[in-house]
Amino acid sequence: MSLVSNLKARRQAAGLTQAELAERVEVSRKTVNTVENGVFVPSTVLALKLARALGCRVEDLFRLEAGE
Amino acid sequence: MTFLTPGRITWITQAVFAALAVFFLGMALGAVFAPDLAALPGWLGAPVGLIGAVLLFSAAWFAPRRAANIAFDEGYQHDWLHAQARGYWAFVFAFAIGGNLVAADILPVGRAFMACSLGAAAVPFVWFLARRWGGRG
Repeated sequence: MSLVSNLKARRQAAGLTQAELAERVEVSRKTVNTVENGVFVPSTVLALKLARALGCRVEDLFRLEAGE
Repeated sequence: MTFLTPGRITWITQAVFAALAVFFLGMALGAVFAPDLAALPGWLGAPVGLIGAVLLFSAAWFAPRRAANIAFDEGYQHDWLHAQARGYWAFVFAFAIGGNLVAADILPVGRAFMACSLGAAAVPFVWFLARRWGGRG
C-alpha cells in the first residue's frame, strides 16, 4: 500500500523550510525529507504533529494511492 | 550539555558507526589475507564495539532530552532497525558462504569464522550509513 505525501507542497505553502518544520515537530530534517520523498512512512503521532504544525488535517498531508 | 545539539549527536553517531564499519571490515579482510592469523588481534572487536556503544550512550545521556529525541527520532530508529535486519541476513549468508569455503578447502576454519563474524558485524553500520549518506532524503 503506497502513501502519497502532500507534505512538501503544504510546507512550502506555509513558507517553512524542512529544518523549520523539523524543529517544530521535534524530528531531524532528514526525517522530514524522507517523509516528503515517500521513503519513510511516518508514525501516526508524527503525522498528527506535522498536521498540527501546518494547521491542516492529516488527510490533507497524506492519502493512499488511488485504487487502494 | 548544551553543545550537544541534534546535529552534533548525529555527527557523533555517524562517526562512531563509520569507525566501527571500517574497523570490522578491516579485521575481516585481515582474517582472510593476513600472513599470520595469530598476530591479528581478534579480541579487539569486543572492546572497540563497547567503546562505540559507550560513546553513543554518553552522547544521548548528556545531551538535553529534546536534542537526543530529535537525533534519535523515528526516522533514525526506522533506518537502524532495517540495518540490523540486514545484519542478521548478512550473518546467515556469510556463514553459509564461509562454510562452503571451508568445506572446499579454500579457507581454513579459523580464518573463515573470523572473517564471517567480523565482516557481517560491519553490515548494519555500512547499510545505515549508505542509507543516510546515499542521497535518499
